[in-house]
Amino acid sequence: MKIVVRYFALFRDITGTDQDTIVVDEGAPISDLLVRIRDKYPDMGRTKRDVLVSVNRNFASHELQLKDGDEVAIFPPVSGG
Amino acid sequence: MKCSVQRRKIDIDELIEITRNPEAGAIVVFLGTVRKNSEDKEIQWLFYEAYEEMVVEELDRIVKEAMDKFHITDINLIHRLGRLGIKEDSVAICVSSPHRAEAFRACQFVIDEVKTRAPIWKMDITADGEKAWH
Repeated sequence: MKIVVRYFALFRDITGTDQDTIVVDEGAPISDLLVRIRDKYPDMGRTKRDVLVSVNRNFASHELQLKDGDEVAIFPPVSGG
Repeated sequence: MKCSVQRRKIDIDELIEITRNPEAGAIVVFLGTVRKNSEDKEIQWLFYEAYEEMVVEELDRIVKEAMDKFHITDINLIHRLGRLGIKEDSVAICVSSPHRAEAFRACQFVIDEVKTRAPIWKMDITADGEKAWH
């Protein structure tokens, strides 16, 4: 299935895009999606920053299984305030 | 109870007015402001970016948790986005409650949660023109 992934802040700079589409197996966990992202963008594999993920605008663990149509975002630890 | 993000300057007086409540005997305001130094570097300005479709939902969740956890009458919160200069307010949190102790506690809770959960990121731009995400 195709997952539309959005990137923010440092991770947008690393990938050079704010959004793309990554193909994963049906029901794949987020950890699989992250492997595909690191394959596509090797610098994502080298970043020392933690990788936070939201699915449908809620923080999600890397074990969560993805569903078709999920809204996924990948970002570094937040720094507002 | 209202949370928002905006690019224009925060009107603190307006924020306080909407937080006033006949049941409240105290109002606590927290302002996060831009300081001129970060990790020994001189800051020229900051740039705040957010996942705008998610951030207000997350801020609402934080404020709702505070309303459930503390005996308070209202909370309103505004976070700035975009370019901010030194001394400008980046975030304003206003809490009203019957008594001051709960308002202080609730305000502390909200800013602590915002700093760990709100999908907002800050870029430093130094006097040398160097840019760095935090």
